[in-house]
Amino acid sequence: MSSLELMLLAATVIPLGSFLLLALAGARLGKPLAGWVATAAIAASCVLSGLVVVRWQGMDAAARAAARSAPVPWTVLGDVPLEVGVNLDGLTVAVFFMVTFVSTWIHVFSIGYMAGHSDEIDGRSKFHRFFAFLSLFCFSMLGLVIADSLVLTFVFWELVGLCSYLLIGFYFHKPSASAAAIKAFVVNRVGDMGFILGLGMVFWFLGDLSLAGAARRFAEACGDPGSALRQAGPLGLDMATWLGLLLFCGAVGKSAQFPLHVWLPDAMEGPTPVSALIHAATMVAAGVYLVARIFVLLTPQALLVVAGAGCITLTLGALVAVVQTDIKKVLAYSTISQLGYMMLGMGVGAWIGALFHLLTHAFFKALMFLGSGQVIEGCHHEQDIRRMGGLWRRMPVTCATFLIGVLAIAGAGIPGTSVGLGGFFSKDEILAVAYSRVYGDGTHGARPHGSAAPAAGPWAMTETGHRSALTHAVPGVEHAQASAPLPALLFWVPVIVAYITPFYMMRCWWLTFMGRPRDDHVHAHARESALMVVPLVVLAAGTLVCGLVLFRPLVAEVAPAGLLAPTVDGHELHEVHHALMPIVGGAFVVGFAVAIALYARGLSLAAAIARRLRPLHRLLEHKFYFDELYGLVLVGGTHLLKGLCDLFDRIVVDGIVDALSASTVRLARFSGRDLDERVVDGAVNGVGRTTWELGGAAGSLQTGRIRLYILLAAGGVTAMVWLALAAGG
Amino acid sequence: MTMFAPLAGIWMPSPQDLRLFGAELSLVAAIVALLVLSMLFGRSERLGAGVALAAAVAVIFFCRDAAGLVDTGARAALTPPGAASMLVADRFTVFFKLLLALFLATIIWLWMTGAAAGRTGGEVRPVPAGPEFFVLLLTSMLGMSLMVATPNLLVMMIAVETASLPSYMLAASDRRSRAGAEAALKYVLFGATTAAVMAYGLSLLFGLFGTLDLPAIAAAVSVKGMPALGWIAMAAFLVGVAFKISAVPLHFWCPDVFEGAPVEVATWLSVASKAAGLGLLLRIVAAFGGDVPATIALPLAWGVGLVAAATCTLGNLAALRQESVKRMLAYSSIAHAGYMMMAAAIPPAAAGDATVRPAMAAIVSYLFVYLLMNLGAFGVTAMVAWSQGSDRLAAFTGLGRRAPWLAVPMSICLFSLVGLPPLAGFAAKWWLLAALGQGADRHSWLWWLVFVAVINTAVSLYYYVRVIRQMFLADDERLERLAVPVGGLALANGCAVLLLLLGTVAFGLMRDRSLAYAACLARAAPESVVAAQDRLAWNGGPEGMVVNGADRP
Repeated sequence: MSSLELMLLAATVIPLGSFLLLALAGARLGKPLAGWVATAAIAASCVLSGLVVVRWQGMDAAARAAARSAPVPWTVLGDVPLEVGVNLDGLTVAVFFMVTFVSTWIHVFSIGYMAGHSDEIDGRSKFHRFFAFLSLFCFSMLGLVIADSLVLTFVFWELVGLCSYLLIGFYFHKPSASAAAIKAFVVNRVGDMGFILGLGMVFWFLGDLSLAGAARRFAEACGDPGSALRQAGPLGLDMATWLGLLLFCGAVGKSAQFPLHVWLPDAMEGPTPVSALIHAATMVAAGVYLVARIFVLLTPQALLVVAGAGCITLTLGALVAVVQTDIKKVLAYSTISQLGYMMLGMGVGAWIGALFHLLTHAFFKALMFLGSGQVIEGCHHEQDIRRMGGLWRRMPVTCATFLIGVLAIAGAGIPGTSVGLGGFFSKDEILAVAYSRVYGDGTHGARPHGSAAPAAGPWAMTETGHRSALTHAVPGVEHAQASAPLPALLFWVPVIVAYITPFYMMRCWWLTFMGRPRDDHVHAHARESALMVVPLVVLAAGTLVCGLVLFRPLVAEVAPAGLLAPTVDGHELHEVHHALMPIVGGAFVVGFAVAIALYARGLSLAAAIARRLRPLHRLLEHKFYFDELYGLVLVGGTHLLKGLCDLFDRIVVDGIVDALSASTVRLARFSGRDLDERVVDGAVNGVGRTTWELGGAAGSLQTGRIRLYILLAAGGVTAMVWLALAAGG
Repeated sequence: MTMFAPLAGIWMPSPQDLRLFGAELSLVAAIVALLVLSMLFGRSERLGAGVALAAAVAVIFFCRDAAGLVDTGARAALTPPGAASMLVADRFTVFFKLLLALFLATIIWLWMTGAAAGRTGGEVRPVPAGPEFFVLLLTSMLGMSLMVATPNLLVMMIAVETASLPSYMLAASDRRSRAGAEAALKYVLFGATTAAVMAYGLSLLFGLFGTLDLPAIAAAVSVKGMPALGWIAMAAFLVGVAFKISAVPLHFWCPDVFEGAPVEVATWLSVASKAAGLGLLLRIVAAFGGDVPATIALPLAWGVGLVAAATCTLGNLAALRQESVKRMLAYSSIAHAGYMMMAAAIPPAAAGDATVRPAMAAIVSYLFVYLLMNLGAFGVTAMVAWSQGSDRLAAFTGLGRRAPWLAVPMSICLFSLVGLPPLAGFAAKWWLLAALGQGADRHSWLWWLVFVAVINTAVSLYYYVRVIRQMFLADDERLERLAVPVGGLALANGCAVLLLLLGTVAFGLMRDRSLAYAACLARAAPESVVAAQDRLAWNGGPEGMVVNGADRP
């Protein structure tokens, strides 16, 4: 193991140690020491991963390739060896650093946040439990990031799901929190069902569960027209496509994509730092991370489905966010929408752009969630933005940092220059690639990455064979795909939503911080907590710089080539970005302006419009009736099935059982107790009792007994010998 | 110095050979030291425990040393060149010795915990006292080490007796206990009878084949065939082995002895005696693998399979109704011996046969896991018995509340004994059944063994879970929390954690290790057959014999 891998491994295990410590002795550490222990652990991980980033930046491609060692064999499943190792590349390093950095500051924030919350249940403090779960989550998430095999990925995938469940339901005595936790868990199971079926297909068809190995086998199998993967499967898609789609199901659940997006808004029942960490910055992005890792296993058709799911999700999320009045729900739907952008990016081949957006989004969304936590905490658990307003005087820092987040998510920047915040680069890169896939000449997608960008990353170094095999293996597929432009909707819908995003974010910010206080009681008590302000400032600073300097190069070097490589290199991207300028460059200005115009004088104007558009407003307020639909169809269907089973059980099964038992009773009466005792007791108890007696529990020290033992032994041996000879000879 | 001149011609083992048998030598040294020291310094229990612990550590050290030597190709036989081996050192032997030594160390740990509890607890609990306890313990360990290290019938006999005689006395080491004395007397009478039968079988075999070397007998049998008297002799010989494994129908001593003997002794016998017996059985089965024709190998396999099925069925059924947890564990240990013997029943097809290896590996890993779970279960039972004065099921009432750090590891050990995932017991049982299933490709009757094993597993769930139910679901508010010695907590929880780890993260490691150990046995067996055939030819046996498929290193 190289030192870099060891450092990442150590950084992963440290939070596990913290979890064990807090789980075993957390109650004794008490409040707030337990929180500081967890914070110290994740901070140590953050420092380690920061060192890894620094060292990684200083290495050339050869050194990076050399830093990655062979995986360690774990065990063998049938004929398929299971190996574990650290998936050391630029993407891992970048995401790892993002997770540890954001986590650290959210931990700090949590200490302040939990200090003001009653954490006693049944008279016992659950403070340490909260941080134990956070530590467990950090361990699981970091494990997921460094996992280099699909099995390990799945293990950590389920672990983060468990942590999410535990933390959403942290206030489990509240029925709504408990229900939300269960909903999140069950909806995720639906996606994971697909994931594990996909794993089964990888096991069956590819016979290699490591990420790199599976990719290699997949390329070989796709190149061979006779392979089982090229056979047609259900719905006219080949098995290769199904394999990718099933794996993608896991991502649909975890990243709250349509149609499994319903759990995420409810997950806001959890404490706000949890929403920031798990349900905005890290875990929900794991789905996008998974798609990035299995990108090479996705066929063009599968990618089209990914893009479609992303496109629907980003629209749904943005539209519903427009009418939400709970500050956390606005952020939740905006998260869904942004995750949709990332999935769309993956689907259209903007591999780099999507991951870049993942990293920038983590910063600004964590920032905004923490800001909302500050607001909620400061306003005595008031979450309705209609009752806020004018908070900027009471919470100046929160107001300013939140605004930075709003600008970042809106993609604010100065068109034509390189001055802008996260979304300005990352979201626009996704749009740029979508544009070129829709209106381009089709060569973008097909060009091998290696020729476009000479900077070869570690992937290229270690996976050269794989890469050439991939580009070589599927020329037909690639050509067909490349010559067929994507549907124009995949470009225009995200563009339109890019105008809605600034609108609802500005609405949220304006209603919260600007204007006149609409509720004197809320306003009078609002205050900022010092401990919670520091993370806000740090994350705001991160949001300001991370878009530009840190992450894109790290991610870009890992981009897989071949199949549908993004391949829009820096120069080209710049050009397309310029070309897009008239279309989306001013989107944030328009969105902001409309929002301010609407809400500058309070809620009355907006309310009037809402009355005018009553049906639409209701539709959005009810979140497109997804919960009702699922409740009716799925839950109702289950109840219906339950009822049918019940009827069947009562009429058919009970009938049979009753008839059987009646006849048994007859028979028993007829045969009497004598037979009963002899048959039943003889078969079960009798053997036991006989053995008991033979074993001689109450046997006293009598030679007669021992003689019996020996006699039985002699007889037994004789019988055995005779039997063995008779049967075997 | 002329009087020593004749000695110069006497064969002496080389220093390297002696190094390979450092484990046995250090045991002997420790036994002598214990006797001498107790004469010099009086009967100090701590001194005895210290010397015994040192001996266990020395054995572990020498085993590691020997493992390194064996890996480089050294194979020692403490024998003059040309003669049949008396003792052998291969990785298989080293594994068993290591296992025994580790177990010995934990038994001493358990004893020290018990002694500490007895001193502080006020209540007088029966501590097997004095240096003689450790002398006997080490002597039985010596016998067991020899059992797994010899292909020679006479040495086998001596080894079995060396292991048995101290065990009889260990069973009675609590001299105030009537139950202990009764158990020991039953044990010795039963043991004496089986020893007599075994000696009879040995003498018949010697008379028939003119050699005491097991591989040589196997080679002769594969050429000349097995005479009818040979079958009787083999059966009589195997009676002695079955006694050590406590296989049905030679298990009668086991529950009585486990119940009457002090808990340390019961724990020791439940694992060590069986491990050594299984090692011996595996060596015999392996010797009759290779080129031995099916007409001989198959009845042998059938016999082992039959005994295995009977052993585990009877053990499980009898355990169902036990009220004493110690006695229940005794029957459970009989049942587990049955599971392990099942894999020994897979008939080897040819030299270096692939199906033997998983079977051997399964037994090796099962033994190791069995050691952990039995140690944990017996340890907790001991802890409960010491503080409650009873090992009845009722003494476990409400343990989940009264001593959670005992109840949880106990549950893990019991679930592992059932063979539930994700515990190591599941992995071990799974490999065992997988090996049987693989063997069943050629011998479909092995499916019956799989069937019996699965049914028995279901049956065993009942009596293991009964204890867990008593600990967690039955409670009596009047019962107070238990005071548990720290050493005992460490032991029980250590076992539980290892079971959890081996069942999840480390099962690949366990599998690889046991495959490596098993490979040695599978390789060693044909090799010794080859050597024996060479000797047979040299002794004027049939000329021009061709050995095919032998996997020469």
